Amino acid sequence: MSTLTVDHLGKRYGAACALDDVSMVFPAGRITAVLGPSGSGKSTLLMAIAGLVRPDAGLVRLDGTDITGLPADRRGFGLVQQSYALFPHLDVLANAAFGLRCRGVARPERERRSRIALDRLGIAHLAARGIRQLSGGEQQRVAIARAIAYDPPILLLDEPLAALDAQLRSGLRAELRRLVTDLGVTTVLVTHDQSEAMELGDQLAILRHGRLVQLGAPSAVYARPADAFVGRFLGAANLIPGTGVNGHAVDTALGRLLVANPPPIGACWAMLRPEDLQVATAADGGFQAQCEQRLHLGDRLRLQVGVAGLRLTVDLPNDYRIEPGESLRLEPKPGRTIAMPRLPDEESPDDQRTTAP
Amino acid sequence: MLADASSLPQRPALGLLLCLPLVLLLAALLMWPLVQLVLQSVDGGPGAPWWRAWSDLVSVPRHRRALLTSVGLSAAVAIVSTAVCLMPAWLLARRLIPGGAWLRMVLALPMSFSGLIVGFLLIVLIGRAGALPALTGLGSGLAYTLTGLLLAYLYFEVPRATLTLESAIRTLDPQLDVAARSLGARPWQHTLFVVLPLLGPALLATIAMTFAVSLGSFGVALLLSVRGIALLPLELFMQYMAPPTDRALAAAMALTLAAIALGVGVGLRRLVEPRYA
Amino acid sequence: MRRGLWWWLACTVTIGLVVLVLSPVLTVVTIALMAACGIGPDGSPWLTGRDEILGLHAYGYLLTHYGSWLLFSLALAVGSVLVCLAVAVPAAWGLIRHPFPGSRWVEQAAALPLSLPGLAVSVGLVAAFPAVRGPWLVFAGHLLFTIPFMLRVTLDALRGYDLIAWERASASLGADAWRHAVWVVLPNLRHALVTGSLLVFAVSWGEFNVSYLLNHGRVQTFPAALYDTFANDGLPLAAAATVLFLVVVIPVSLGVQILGRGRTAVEQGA
Repeated sequence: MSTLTVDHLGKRYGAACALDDVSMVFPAGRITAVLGPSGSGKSTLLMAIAGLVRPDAGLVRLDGTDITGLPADRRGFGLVQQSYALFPHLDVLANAAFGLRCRGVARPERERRSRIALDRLGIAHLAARGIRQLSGGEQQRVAIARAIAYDPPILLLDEPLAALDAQLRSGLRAELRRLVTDLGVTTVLVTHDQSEAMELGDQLAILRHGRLVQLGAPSAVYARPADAFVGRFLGAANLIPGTGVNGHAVDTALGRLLVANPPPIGACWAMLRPEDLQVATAADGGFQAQCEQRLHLGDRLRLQVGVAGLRLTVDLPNDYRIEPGESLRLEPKPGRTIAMPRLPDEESPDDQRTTAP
Repeated sequence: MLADASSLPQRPALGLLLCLPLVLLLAALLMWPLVQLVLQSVDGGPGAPWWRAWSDLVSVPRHRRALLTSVGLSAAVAIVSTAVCLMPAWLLARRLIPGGAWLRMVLALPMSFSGLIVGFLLIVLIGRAGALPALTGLGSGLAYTLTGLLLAYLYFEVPRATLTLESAIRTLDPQLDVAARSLGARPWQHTLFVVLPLLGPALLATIAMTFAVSLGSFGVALLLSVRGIALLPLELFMQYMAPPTDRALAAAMALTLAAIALGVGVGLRRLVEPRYA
Repeated sequence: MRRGLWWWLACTVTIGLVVLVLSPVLTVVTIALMAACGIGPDGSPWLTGRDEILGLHAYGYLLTHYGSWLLFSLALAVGSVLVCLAVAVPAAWGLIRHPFPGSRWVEQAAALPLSLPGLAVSVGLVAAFPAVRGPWLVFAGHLLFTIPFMLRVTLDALRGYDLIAWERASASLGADAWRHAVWVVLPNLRHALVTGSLLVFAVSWGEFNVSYLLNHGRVQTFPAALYDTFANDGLPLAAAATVLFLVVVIPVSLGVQILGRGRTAVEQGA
């Protein structure tokens, strides 16, 4: 199993900076999900690792060896592109065998190994089909099989599930995880879908404007986002402006909130996810909020409530009874509130401001 | 494009009406003459059998040689020009060369030169008293050899071949190149395993097109003709210029030229179609 | 391909082709210029005995001697453009917007003249219409070879547009069929029509196969005049005639190229 490292990787396209001093380790045998909005540089990072884009600065290392200067066709990685890019003039088996063919493997051997790869993806029965006759999900599997047929040390996936419908996606996610675990191949998965990144990634890397903003296990990044951007990107988040004070507290319009981490002194955000709020246990505990909107999400009740000029999103158990217009008392669950730095130009996001007094 | 026309009427009658002038022109200028040619070619003359003109075409050595030379030369030109023009076409389609727009303009220049001009231009360059011999002492009289003829035809075909191939290469998905490289294909493997098979139909179509054009090219042959090289278009021309005109033979020659050109075009297209059914 | 060995090879071949294409043209133009200035390499075999027609007199000689032929060619070219616009454009519209059973055959038949050797077609025309006067037969031949170009260019342009969506939009905005055709369709076709017209002009102007055969002995087209000079007169005169020819063809050809930038090969006449 191989370890991949990038050191101070940089890439500019004219005036635009696609990658800005990105350094990280992709641990051996694990899936690293690279997450970010469009234009964050995640695809550029993947292409730089693959050798298809030449970085302006920095190094790419495989098990310590510098491979930055190595051309793409010599790196031996497996790449699955968003569009799959299957060869239309070859059938499924020939597509899967392509990498082996380029390595000079004899026909019987490469067909054998390709069939094994196709079998891992559950599509061995499609070996003789033309690719035009395949469904989206089947094409996806062929693309993956093609990339793993020659046992690459690194597997690179560029938004592999983006083109599939929701149902296919969830099924394939589980399969993908199982596959990578079975193969033990170091995998880099690029995606803009945070739920996919959380589900598949052993490690999450958040990119924004070409910079690495946060790196860590999904649960850690979810619970302790480094800044407001990461907080909102990974899921719904209530950002309450306030002032950090000594003693793990933030003064806000909702009162003094205790936070789990040392707050920055001065302007900061207090972040509470919808599931981090509960109905106040004491009759006068927490704060009074007015329910503005109620959504039944099946497994939970999501309320939009207004309090002190803010609009908060709260998830409550689905058997809670309330009507829009009614009031309720809410309090944060202990130990869940997080403080984050607030930049001068960061305002309360529009959906958190309310016109109600 | 015409997916759901249910709310907007399509009027086949109107379509036919709009096409009527075109159809009439085609019928009068294309179909009717072709029919006439066939009729004339089998009218061997008083007392001669209907196949007389056709058998003359293949049995008289001069005519046979002209036919074979024409076909051979055209085939050679077609293959050479397609192979050679593939490179500028690739550079243009993938924008791998600066000043591509100018390059395209230059290479497209001979498009409107008739074969006549091309022949003349080459005589000027490499004829007996051409510029190249005068400046460098080489290649005198080259224009009048088979090589010169080949060059002239090549000159003729460069624009058509280049532009057609460029269009075809544009349709190749660049993502496939990315895939091939990531899978470990060296440049030669990429060309052999991915590019050529996908370009196959376009290559064959270009070969067919250049073949047809060369076969019918008359001006070049006229100007560069020299004893020893017999070309069918020239033979045909002679029939008309040097009376008495053997109408049947001329018709047979014309039909042969047309049939070969068409046959090659259709045949090559058929060769490629089944694979992409 | 990037900047590897193959790229260098491709560039070398390309440059070779450029040299092949440009050198004869430049040579001819140079000769013509040199002849026009009355100078030439000493003792050069290029200069022949017709001293009296060297210099700018060459062009005067050409214009007086072959002037009517030049005009004939121009008339043919312009006529071809007009007829093509009148015949091919409505036909293209009919084929795309109102297809009828057999429209595919019409389209293929219209493309046929391009795959047939010009000489064969001329012979056919002569065989079919022995009584028709020369110039009209030449015109017919020109039409046969130019209409497919205009048709193809227009068809390609029309196919690139979502015609039904346009009509729905026009209808919803209150435009009738006529207004829609004039205000919506034609302006969008303008580019294709201009390119097509230039192409037709260039093809007709340079057409020799058909013209020479069909009109021998009478007023000919300008390319035939060229042949005359090539075969009979000295090099400088022939060069001057070629320059005259190129003076018309090159700007038109460049026009097609400039307009066709980035478009398909068909629009550029391949």
